[in-house]
Amino acid sequence: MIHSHIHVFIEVRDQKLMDVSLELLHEANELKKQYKNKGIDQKVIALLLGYQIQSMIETCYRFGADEVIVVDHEKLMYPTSQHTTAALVQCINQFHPEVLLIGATVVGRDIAPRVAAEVATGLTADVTILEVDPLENSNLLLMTRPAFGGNLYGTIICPDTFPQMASVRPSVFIKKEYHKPVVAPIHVTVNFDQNDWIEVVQRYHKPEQAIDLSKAKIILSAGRGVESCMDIVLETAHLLKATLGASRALVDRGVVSKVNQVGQTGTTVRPSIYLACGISGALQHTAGMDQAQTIIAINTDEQAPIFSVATLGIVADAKEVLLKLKEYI
Amino acid sequence: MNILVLVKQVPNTTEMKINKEHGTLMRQGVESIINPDDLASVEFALTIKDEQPDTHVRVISMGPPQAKSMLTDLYGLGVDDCVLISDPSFSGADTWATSNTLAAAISRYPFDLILAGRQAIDGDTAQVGPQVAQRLGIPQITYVKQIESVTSTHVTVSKHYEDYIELSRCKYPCLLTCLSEGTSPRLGRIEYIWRSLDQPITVLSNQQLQLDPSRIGLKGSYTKVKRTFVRPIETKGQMIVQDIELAAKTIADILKKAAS
Ligand SMILES: Cc1cc2nc3c(=O)[nH]c(=O)nc-3n(C[C@H](O)[C@H](O)[C@H](O)COP(=O)(O)OP(=O)(O)OC[C@H]3O[C@@H](n4cnc5c(N)ncnc54)[C@H](O)[C@@H]3O)c2cc1C
Ligand SMILES: Nc1ncnc2c1ncn2[C@@H]1O[C@H](COP(=O)(O)O)[C@@H](O)[C@H]1O
Repeated sequence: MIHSHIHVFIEVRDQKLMDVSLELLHEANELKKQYKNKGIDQKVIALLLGYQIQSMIETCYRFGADEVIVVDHEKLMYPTSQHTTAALVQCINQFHPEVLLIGATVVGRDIAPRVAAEVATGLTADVTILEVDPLENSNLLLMTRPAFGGNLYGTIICPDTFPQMASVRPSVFIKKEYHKPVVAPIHVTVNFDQNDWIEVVQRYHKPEQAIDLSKAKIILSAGRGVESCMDIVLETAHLLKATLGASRALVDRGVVSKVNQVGQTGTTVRPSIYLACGISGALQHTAGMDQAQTIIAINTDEQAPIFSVATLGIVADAKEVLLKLKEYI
Repeated sequence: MNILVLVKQVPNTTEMKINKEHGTLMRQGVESIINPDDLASVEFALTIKDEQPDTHVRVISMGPPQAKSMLTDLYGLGVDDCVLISDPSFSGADTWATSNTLAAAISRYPFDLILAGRQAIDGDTAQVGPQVAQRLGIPQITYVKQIESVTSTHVTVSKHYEDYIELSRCKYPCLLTCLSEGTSPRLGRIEYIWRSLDQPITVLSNQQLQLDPSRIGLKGSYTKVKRTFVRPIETKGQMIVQDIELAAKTIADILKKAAS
């Protein structure tokens, strides 16, 4: 059996394409280049699953798909482990991808393991770096991910089975417009199990989701070091039109809401400016913010690990710096 | 009703330090704890038992013999039975090989509901729960924050997505993966703790499970670890030490530049 091409699962939610799927289309194009350098031609193929998704096909080409495979069915209106798995498994059995990338969203992390077990292949979770093996005698995908709470990184390979599957963390890669030629998509018909395993009784939006950290341009982030002067932090955030971020320590203490948490178990962010006040910079925190363009860190401890990722490090009392900053705005 | 809870013993990753000179993880002196999400699963199971006393809660863990101490602690919380799957040939397993082994052990026991943690803090994969469900051919609901109701045939749970919450119902048998955010675990009860020391832990090795050696442990894993490394330390940027005036001015300049 020949396995070829890089397939990307395109997640549709509320009739919108998830950003991470578009980020993966761009990353798949980067991998395509690396394969090309080794003399291997790969296509970037979007697996678009959903219901009444005709209008989204063009978007896949715009963001880098060479080909689009569509499964359009009422049962895929909301992605479920049962039906989405069935559809993906059928696509894999029909098209034999060499690589399959899935966004590590709640949906992606629900279905990817099930799909991998179903087709009996390996799956690497929550990957943050993808690369085609630079060694001459290997064309394997190198999938690098944090483990042990971000203390250690591991590069994982899946040497004997296909597809080589990875779930990839949102906001690690960027999306890019390619405007590839629109060709007729391939439609796949899937025979879905008529009995739904799960009955959704109610579905409602989380009320707090008014803030979206992952899209914020400026983030003012607070840690335990500024717990006693949160009033000044909030006032400064307002002045700078910045979104409030926080370390888990502050969230755990109930000072700031969970939606504001940045990091491995919070949101991954890549703002243009990340201003960290009183945050030590534990790896679980920096894993979620070290992709920011400019990182400014204020901390009284010059040994704080946050300074190792900072573009501008300030060793001082954050309260004093923020009060002074007001005079310059 | 019969509940199985999948529990893993993990190193407390918050306490891990890195040896920057050698680029290695220092694991000595780091305590072993029950995986936090799994403790939530145990709590969910015991809450159901509080309300429906004929519920039987069995804990299943795969790991080295020292995981027994964790299981004894769980007896102290009031679980009914503990099983440890332990055999040198199971070690080094990736999530698929782990799930294959867990599923084989699970098949020996009656169950309506299986509870797993969403993710273990050492591997952080969140894959074992769904893969066990797949091996057993049963439905799964992941990212469960609350179990809302339990009847003789169905469980209703709230599942948390990034942006919305779903209240959904599923017939038994099914598997849930639970988040630690929704619960506060109970403390041990003195009469249970007292009893716990005498309660037997069933140990299952491959003698009992009879799994094909090519489908377990390191050998049975589809994924391989090519290399591990600690995070490279990025070079330091500009530093300003104890000069509040200069600090504020520099920050303001950066903000202005970004705005224009
Ligand atoms: C599985 C797991 C997942 C995790 N996920 C996350 C996550 O997603 N996000 C996250 O943030 N954490 C996460 N953590 C927790 C993380 O390990 C740290 O415990 C946490 O980030 C520390 O928060 P902090 O920096 O606010 O607090 P601390 O580590 O207590 O640091 C406070 C800092 O403030 C400085 N300070 C004190 N006073 C002042 C002052 N006046 N002015 C300036 N600085 C001052 C101190 O020098 C210190 O560096 C996770 C942990 C685990 C185990
Ligand atoms: N060795 C194990 N023994 C028992 N349960 C496990 C084991 N490994 C994983 N699990 C279960 O699967 C969940 C997810 O683990 P992981 O996929 O490693 O993040 C855990 O929270 C446990 O409930």
